[in-house]
Amino acid sequence: MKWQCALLQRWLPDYPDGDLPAWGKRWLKSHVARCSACRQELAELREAVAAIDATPVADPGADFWREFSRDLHLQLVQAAQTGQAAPASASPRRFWLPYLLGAPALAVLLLSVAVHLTGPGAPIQDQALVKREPAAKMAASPPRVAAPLAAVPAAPVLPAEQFVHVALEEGAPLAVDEDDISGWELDAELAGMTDQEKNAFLNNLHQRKKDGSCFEGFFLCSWG
Amino acid sequence: MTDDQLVARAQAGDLPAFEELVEKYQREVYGLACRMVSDAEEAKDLAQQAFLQAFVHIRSFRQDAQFRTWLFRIAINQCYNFLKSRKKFGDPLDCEEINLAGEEPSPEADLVAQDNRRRLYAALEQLPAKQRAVITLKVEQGLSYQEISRVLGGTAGAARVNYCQALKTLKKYIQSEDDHEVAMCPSTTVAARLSRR
Repeated sequence: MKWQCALLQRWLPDYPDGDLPAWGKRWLKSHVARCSACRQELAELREAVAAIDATPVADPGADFWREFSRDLHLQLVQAAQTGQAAPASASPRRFWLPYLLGAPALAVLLLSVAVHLTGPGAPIQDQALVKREPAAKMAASPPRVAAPLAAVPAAPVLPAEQFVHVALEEGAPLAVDEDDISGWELDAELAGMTDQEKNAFLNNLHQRKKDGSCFEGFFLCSWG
Repeated sequence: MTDDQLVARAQAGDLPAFEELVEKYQREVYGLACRMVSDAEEAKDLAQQAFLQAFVHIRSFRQDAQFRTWLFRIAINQCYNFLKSRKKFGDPLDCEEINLAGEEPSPEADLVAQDNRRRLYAALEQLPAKQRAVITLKVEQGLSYQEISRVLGGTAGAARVNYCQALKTLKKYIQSEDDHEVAMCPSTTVAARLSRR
């Protein structure tokens, strides 16, 4: 089948009428005149329509329609008496009113439950918020070592004083966990310290290295 | 009185006005149901159900559509439901027992007409319900593709393509009914009918 035939055959049932524009009708007419396949298709479609037209639905007669009307009348009267008829067109709007009012009420209820569950007194704290807290402190204080920090912008960094304080106090609880200090560069941290702080910090690290609690040749310090 | 006036009165609860609408469209709805379910008794019940549903929901009818197409839509939905339940619970219709005979002028003409009717309904039975509906609405009720699309859903272009496909399929089934008849029952009636073509 040619592409033209496939395109035009959908208009064949209405040929020569149909809702085609004038140029489409001319195109269809000239195509049917020269295409034997489409002429055959047109003849078959007309034959099918003729078969339907030739056998209309038989009229069942006056008695049938009397009985039909009587039965239907009884059903209609019964429906009217039992009030089965649908309410007027204004009533559906009244019917929707509780739903329209109920939707905002439900939204408020859900919001209050959500606030209650995730409020300040909630037992579950957001871990991400806890981790972002040191970074916020760092942002408030002026940066001590700009260049190395710029190399690892995502790593959270404590102020050097706090770092040394933590290192000097043996047995003190760790202020930050292991994830927070991963990615720190030791040289960058030492660059911002005084000589005394540096010595104390390095002594502490050497001590930890001897204990085995700090890896040798580390780039990142592990406080495990 | 026009349809719009009758509908407005029926919406106000005027039963005689609705019965006037019934009187006006009962033959069309019954014919549609006959073509859809191929059974006169069932078609009568379905037509009555369609009118009853129309009466029950007449107040929800907005007059931006024609009452006739709205009524056809209800009738088609009733027929779909019936066909679905028959397919699920009942036996398929035996086309030899189709009870849609009309009154023909002579016994011979009656025989030929009955034979043609039986072949047509046997072929219609094999069509999908939607194609049966689109053929009936277009050929017998004379609806435009736009109106058919309002009754059956979809677009006018889809209705046109559906109608074209339905006619092709119907022609194929009628042809296969002829072939089957010649193979199973080479009677003189069939031979005479084929020789007339």
